[in-house]
Amino acid sequence: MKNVFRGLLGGPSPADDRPQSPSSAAPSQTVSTVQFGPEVRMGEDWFEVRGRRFPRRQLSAAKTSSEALPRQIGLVGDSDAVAAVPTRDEVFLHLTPHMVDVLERIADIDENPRLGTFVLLTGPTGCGKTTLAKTFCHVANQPLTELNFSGDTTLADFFRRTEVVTDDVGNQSTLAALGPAARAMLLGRKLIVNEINMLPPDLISVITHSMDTGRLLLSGTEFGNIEIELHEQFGIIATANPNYVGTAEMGRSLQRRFGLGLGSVPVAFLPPAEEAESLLVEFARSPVMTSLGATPDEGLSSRLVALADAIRNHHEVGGQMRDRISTRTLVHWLSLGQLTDLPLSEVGARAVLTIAPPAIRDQVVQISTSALGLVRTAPGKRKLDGALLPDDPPDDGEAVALPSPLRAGTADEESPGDGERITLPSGRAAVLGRDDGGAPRLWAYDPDGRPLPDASAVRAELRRERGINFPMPLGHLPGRRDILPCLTQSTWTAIRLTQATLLLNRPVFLRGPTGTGKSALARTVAHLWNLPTVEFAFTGETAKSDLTAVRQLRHGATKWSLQAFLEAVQSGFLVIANEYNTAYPDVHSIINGLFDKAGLVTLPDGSEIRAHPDFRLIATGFPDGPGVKPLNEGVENRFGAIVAFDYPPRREEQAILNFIAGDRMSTASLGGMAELASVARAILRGDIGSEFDGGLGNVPPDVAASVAERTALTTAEMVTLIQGARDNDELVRWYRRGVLEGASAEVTRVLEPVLTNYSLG
Amino acid sequence: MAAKASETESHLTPSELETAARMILGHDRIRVLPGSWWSYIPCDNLITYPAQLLGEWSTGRLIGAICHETAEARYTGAHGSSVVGRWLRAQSQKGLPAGTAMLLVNTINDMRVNRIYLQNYPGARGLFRELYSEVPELHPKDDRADDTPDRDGRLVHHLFVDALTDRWAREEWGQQAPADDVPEVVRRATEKAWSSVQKAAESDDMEKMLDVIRKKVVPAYRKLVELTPLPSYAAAADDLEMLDRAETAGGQLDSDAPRDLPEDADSISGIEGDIERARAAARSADEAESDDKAGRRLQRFSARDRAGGRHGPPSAAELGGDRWTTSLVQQMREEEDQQIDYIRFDYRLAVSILEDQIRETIDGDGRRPGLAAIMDRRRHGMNDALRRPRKQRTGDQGEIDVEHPERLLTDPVAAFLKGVRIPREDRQRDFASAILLDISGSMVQKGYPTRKFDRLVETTVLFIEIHERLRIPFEVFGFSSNVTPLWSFADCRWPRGILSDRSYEPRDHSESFRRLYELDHKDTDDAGALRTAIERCQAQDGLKSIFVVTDGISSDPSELRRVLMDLDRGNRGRSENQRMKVLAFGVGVVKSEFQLAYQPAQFGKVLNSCTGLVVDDMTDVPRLVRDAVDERIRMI
Repeated sequence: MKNVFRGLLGGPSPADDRPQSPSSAAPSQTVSTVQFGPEVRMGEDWFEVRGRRFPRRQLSAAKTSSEALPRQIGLVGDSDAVAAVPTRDEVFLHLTPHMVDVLERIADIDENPRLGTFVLLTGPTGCGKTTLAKTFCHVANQPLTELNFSGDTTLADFFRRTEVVTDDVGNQSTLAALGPAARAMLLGRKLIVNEINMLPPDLISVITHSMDTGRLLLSGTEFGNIEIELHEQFGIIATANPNYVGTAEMGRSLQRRFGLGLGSVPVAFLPPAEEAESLLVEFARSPVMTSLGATPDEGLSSRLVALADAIRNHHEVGGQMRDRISTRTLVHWLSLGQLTDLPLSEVGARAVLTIAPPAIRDQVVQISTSALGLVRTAPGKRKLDGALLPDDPPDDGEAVALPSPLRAGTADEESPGDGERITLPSGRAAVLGRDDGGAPRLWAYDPDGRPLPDASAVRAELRRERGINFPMPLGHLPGRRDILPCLTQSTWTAIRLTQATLLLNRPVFLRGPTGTGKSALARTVAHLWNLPTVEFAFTGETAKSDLTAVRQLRHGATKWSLQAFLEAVQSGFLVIANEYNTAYPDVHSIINGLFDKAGLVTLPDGSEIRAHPDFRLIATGFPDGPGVKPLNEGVENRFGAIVAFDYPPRREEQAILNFIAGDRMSTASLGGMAELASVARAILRGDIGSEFDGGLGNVPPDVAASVAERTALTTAEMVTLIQGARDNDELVRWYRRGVLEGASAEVTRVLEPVLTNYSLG
Repeated sequence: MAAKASETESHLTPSELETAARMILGHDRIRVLPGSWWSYIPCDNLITYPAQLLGEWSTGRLIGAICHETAEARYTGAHGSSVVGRWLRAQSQKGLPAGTAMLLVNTINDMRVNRIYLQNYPGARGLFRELYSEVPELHPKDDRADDTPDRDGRLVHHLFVDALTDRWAREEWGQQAPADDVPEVVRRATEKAWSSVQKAAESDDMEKMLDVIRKKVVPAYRKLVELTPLPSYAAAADDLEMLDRAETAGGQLDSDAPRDLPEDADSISGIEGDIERARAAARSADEAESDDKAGRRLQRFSARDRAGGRHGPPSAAELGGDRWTTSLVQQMREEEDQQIDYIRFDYRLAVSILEDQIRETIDGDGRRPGLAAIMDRRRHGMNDALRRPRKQRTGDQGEIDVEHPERLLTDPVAAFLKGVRIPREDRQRDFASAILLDISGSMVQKGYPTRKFDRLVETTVLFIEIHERLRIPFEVFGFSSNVTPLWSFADCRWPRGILSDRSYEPRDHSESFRRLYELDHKDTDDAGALRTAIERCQAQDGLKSIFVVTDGISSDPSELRRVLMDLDRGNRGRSENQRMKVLAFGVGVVKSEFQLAYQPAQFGKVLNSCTGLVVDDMTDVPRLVRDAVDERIRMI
């Protein structure tokens, strides 16, 4: 799999900041003396915090060879310990005084043999809790196991699970295998428990019981019921944001277990001066910025941090915004400004402050606009030629054709020799076979025998001529029919912001009402960049296991099988997750791991799935409505941009309809459809209500709503009508049928003449 | 009868016309209200329509007129009105009375705005055609009301402007034959001026149009006007005064200054005439609004208020006092000796008065969540709406079902019971309620509503509005000797979409209350009423509640007992979330008798399906019923 984003940037991949493989992470063997800001240093076998020296753990990769312990139960030496230490890419490289406070406290507790390393970092999202924990593990050379918990985490997920094993002669039996938490206890790893307050209380009690007794009880093992002492180096570093959506209230007992004044550590946002310092470091370390030669502007950074501080402490909006604007958010904000060259206030309004609840969004944007004015970031030494849409959007009310996509790559893979070759009437050929993993695969060739990168035409011909609909492996290039038919000023800017966010290797959330073209916009980005895409639709029934892995019985033994989502993550596809916020918050939290510095998901068996450098995620979702769950701040914060969508303004919508219709339809009818939809949506939104000067007066609300509901077609619905209709008469006929069919007599009486007025009669 | 019904169906009602007008006006901030005639009033952002024409004009013609007024609003607007005002002043100084000149400008400007409108909305051509099928009297020609008419009570210049409109309509649609009885002088003048009129109407710019009129049309028009003696000097002075007002019309758009309606509003015409007439209409419409529209004023309810002429709905501060003690009754009749006028009961006003109580129930009081949130959670079957419920089985995540390890070999699919979910026990998606209102003679006598009846009404308003806002199906019955459904489950239709809170307007239930008052008030046949209500509730899905408010002991206690027993028996066969419960509130009744009637015991155990609560003070009833509704939904 080639690295698409490296090609776009013309330099190193923005995702190269993630470890490519665990074997590349070997900090303990490469260290001489490394500075982490002025107060922390790290040597070969020591690290110093404010001049106080602590030992680094010495890891040995030697395996335990005891045959007395079965492999399956996991009671063997920690052969992966070295790889389990976080790499430099996963940690803070510059520690400000407040960060050092926390680090010193963890080191203090860890060093004290009379205290277990039980640390609870409590604080708002984005203040760096998890990264601080990892930074400690990095400098202390401690292997870690990271677990993200959620509402549906079960005991079996991390303590003990039943597996089927097959012995040498083929006999099958069930076996209690250890989960990752139990393994961490036995092997002496630090267990990083993110969002510990998402954990059901009974699971917490299992953890705290082990913490209290220093022992782990295991039932039903091959040895019967056993008791094992916890490894001296075992420790828990938990993080919690008590105000998250989807979390439970943290019990007093849980907090006390970590020790008030000891392991229970509150973490707050950095003071503005330190935050600005941190922002500069984080901005500059991004490979994209390095590749562009963008230098951080201290003044701008301080201005942004001052704005964040003002919003967090604002007497009206501060309460709701405090947890929403993190240092991470500011890094995204500054980086998006750098890549798109838009004024920072505009970036904020369109893609960052959209995180604010609707009721205060305008106010927050206003604060930001007055603080930032039209200030932009200074251009970098290099330009992003051709990577983003040019900074030349269409005029207001204009719709333009989509620019040509980047040239598709060549299909350079040879087809298997034993595949079945089918020559089609057009002269093109298809070879049907299987790839290395055994998945069905189709190779397409033009009449001259050259491989075709896009096999869709051959697939269509195969269906048409031979009746064969051949399955294909994951990942397809969205075709013309799947993408936005044209671009307007608002979609143009939205695409640029989306592209910039993806270049930064951050996920994007497109939020807007149904039928506004969110998914089509995501596909358009894929089309423009030729990104193989996999599209999912989330629902309230979607569970984490639907996206990560399930166990299957294969060849007489249980195996974990990756679901399509994780396969796409591993393969480096663009994943479009539609209706993302109809899933529960625990599903959302999957992206926490994928888009943290480590970029991995830990499966229940403890194995880690790392994201491919080309993996990108665009989520789409509704602003509100039935079944919509709010994203918790931790998840929202990991999105590099939350692009708010709405139905296009009337002129823009009409331009879209005109563009699609060409000269087949009457502009009056198209304009009528757009105008009626716009008015109807305003009524349904309540913009035209009793408080509006031209309000609904004596109109009963049910009549107004019924009329409005029938005419409030989405842009997508109108586009479909226009694309399907052969001429204007047919369009009007279909439109009227849609609007009037099944309407009550009074609604029909109102709508008939109104439709006539709008040339839809 | 059927013909009459279909005739009614084919005509627009005021609310339908206003809805259509809203859809046509789009985002323009212009109100549409009934008035004495068609008019657009720029300074008030108002279009008025004559409600009396709804039964006479066809739908197409009415909508055509709305389109025309929309065109006036969009393409003349306040700015245009101001420009015309200045122009008229100049004409008046040259001897052409402003009102008379205005007729000409209005006529040609109509052609101009119609043309622009039809350019933008060609579909409206048919509607205009219908409007102009008979030349409509869009601008009453009352500039020379005291002058002697030339023919059929009409002046020559009036005939001229009509002829222009007639010609325009003919050229646009070619359907009408020219009027053959037009005086020769008018016919010739029309012929001569037509090309200039066309040119003026072709101007998109208002000032350009007026310039063409001044140069090319006014001279001929002036001659026609001179065929009738000019008005007196005093009239001309009034004319100028009126112009002052007209000129500033554009500047009044955002003015909050009180309306200063001229005494001579009826004697002027033209755009200003439109303006002033419509102002007068607006004034009457405002009065009508205050008298007829929901929830606007209190005048309707008490003689003192009517005389006092209060404006606007009462503020919370005006209402004062504790929300619960300041009741609907106290606000609807502020003096001891006054009675609420139930013949003209205004439900929306009642809702506006009780808004705080309703909101507290729906949205919560800050200490506990409101019913809207509770309903949402219960629909999703959880008390913590955003946490996924714990899976009840280890197999849910593809875990091996350890209870049946043999399935790994015998039935591998069943061994991994992924996705099996246990429904939550607290899930409750549907609810339905009915309220039975005792309107026996002790509660109310027609013409003599008692305080008990006032409270009964207050209770019912709360009940209805809570159910309306939560979209829970409900029925309202009045019962005495007979039971009368006032609102049925079938009437409970709500728009499918989600309306924002801001756009919520209460449905008008005034008629139910008027009927409640007008029904016969005799005995208390609660058993019959209850049986009816139970039967009708059976078909509803979900948890059902029947609330009874009565001030008397049942006239047939044994029958009541039978009904409640039957209900209890029926409940035993239903699932928990489909059961029905009767909650009775007895006002001023003997406790032991009432409880015996509404809480019958069987085999020594009180039935679970009904409760009876004796209320000493009728003023407590609204709160108690509201709390009971609340608790039924919360499942406390």
